[in-house]
Amino acid sequence: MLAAVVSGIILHKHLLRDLFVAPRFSSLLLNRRDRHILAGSWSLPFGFLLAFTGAFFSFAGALGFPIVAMVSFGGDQVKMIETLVGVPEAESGAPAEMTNIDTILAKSAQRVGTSPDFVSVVHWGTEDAKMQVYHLPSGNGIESHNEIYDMVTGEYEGTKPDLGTRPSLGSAVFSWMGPLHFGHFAGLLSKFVWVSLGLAVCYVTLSGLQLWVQRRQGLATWRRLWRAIPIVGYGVPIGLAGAAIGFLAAFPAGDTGYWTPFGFLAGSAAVLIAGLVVKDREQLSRIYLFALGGSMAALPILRLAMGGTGWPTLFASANLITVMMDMLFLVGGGLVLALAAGWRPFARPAPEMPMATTDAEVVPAE
Amino acid sequence: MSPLVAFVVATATSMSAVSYLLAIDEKRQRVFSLNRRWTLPKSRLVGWIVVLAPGVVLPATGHLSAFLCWFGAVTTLSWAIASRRPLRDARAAAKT
Repeated sequence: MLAAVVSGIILHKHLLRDLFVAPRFSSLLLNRRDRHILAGSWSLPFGFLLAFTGAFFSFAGALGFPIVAMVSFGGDQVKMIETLVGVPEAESGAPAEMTNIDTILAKSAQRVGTSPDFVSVVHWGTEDAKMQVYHLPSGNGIESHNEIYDMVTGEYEGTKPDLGTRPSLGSAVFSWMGPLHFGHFAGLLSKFVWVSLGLAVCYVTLSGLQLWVQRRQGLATWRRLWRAIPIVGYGVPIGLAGAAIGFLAAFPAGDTGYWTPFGFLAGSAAVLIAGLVVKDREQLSRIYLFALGGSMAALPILRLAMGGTGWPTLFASANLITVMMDMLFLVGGGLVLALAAGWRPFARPAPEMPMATTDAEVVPAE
Repeated sequence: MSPLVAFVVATATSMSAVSYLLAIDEKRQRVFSLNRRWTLPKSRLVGWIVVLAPGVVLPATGHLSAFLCWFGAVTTLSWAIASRRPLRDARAAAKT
């Protein structure tokens, strides 16, 4: 994705000049190209942010930290972990009475200003027992909070940085990566903005692929790829929706470990079979849109039908992420179904222009 | 000022400036052959300064979460606005 962002900057030389030019009507191909460039130009900053933080999450554990261990700690991984995470405290094992968990949670909520999102306790039932109370970012800041409490006395012992044992610039930057990537720092507002930006990036990727192949679909070698784009583009989200349906359907029986991957494979198999059977590409895309929209809209209904927590209870417990996901699936599924039924949010040129058969006939950039 | 209020004020400010830049953009006027009866004073620099000003003010006043939401919202909303064809041109295209 980072490569796609960089290639977008290099390939599109009139980035700033075309920022305000709406898609033109002179041909369908040019119209689609304008749409892609416009979406790509405006979503470029977020695309870079998402790609950079995603690359960090992908490579920090696999490459970054081992390199740090080799360079800064002479290959001593234990020493590196002690520096980055901390030294495990010695456990005496002496039994002790635990303090009331609710009291600690209330104290932490008062101290940070938000409800805790999860807690963990080490050395339960001993005099060394500690509780870590985690709060997602809230208010003006974008950093999460790891509050440490003594489980015997209930006293606050300090805040554990995400990286290292004491607050530092590196730890602060490290703690920004999650909120910047997942957008979970300002409740529903940031989630909504991040979902919109994520969809914009998906649109840019898919429309870029379409354009690249469409301009060459007259050539035999590109025809298979032209056909594969909707299969992959719609197939992945349909497969993921299948996984979610499998999870929700199997949740009451507690067998989600089997049915979640089964749902993904079943959804993907259905997409592939449809791709093999239906020859007309437009009709195939329409079938995929119906399947995607229907499965998306079905998810919140299925969640509630399988005994999931209702919205009033979720609001009361400040569990807004689930409410947001329900709303997005309902609205998103409805929009996809409307697109499948023929609704078009933007006007498009009516006549289909003949496609290029050689690279020389490809429409010039300007 | 709450993060939500800061976000709304910042986004409204930037979007007003984006609308202004949209109205004075020469390439847009040329592509769609726009010949408006009214004209605005043209200053792209001032327009861009107003668009980007919340990006300086929000972090400087400690509104980091509002800054990030503003950053995302402005790019998405600007895309939505810029991808709409000028009204008169859209009506003409609909007739043909």
